[in-house]
Amino acid sequence: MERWTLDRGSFSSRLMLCSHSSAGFAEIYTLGADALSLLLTPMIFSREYIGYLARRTVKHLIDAKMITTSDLKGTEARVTEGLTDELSLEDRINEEVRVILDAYSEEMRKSGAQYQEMFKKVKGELAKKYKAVL
Amino acid sequence: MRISRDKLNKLAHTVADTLADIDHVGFMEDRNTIRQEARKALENLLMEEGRIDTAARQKIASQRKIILEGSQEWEILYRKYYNEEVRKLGI
Repeated sequence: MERWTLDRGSFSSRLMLCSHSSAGFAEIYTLGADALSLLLTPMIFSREYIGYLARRTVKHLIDAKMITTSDLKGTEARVTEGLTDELSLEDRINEEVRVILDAYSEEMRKSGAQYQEMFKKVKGELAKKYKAVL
Repeated sequence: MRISRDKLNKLAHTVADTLADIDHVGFMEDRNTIRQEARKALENLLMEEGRIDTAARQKIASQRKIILEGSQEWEILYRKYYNEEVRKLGI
């Protein structure tokens, strides 16, 4: 089994790409950096798509004569930022769950706790704490 | 659509709240009406996105060999086909 560990810049977690067969390895190797950068985009929608969502929504509101703006680009950028923040909330929570579970990994191993179950439980607690809509 | 109704409502709130915070944006209607209209726009766009998701999944399913969802190969192909579909929108 081939195994890679990639640092994700300022993020504390790491992305592990595991290949279970030589065919899988060849696939990843062929796609190269593009594939890796895609895998490093964790949100449900790409940043480009969120930008598109924001632009189209702002345009819709202007066309429907509901809003006016003297700085279209600036408005689109702010809405993109807001939507990105909201759509990346789950990833930030997942990240926090991983950090918490990493800190308790030894206790979890000793008690035989299942990582997936603990992940769900802690994620639920954090979502409640932040009043997040996931 | 790949997000819940609650999340869609939250996104519409985010759009309305963000717009209200921008000095150079003028509201011609009240914030609630704008939020509802933003929700409509987002819903239509995200339905379209749902079709992109389906198209990408169908392309993977039509491969000669079976590629299991959740495998790294599936994820890589999904992103590849998804982005091809997204590019058709001119993004």
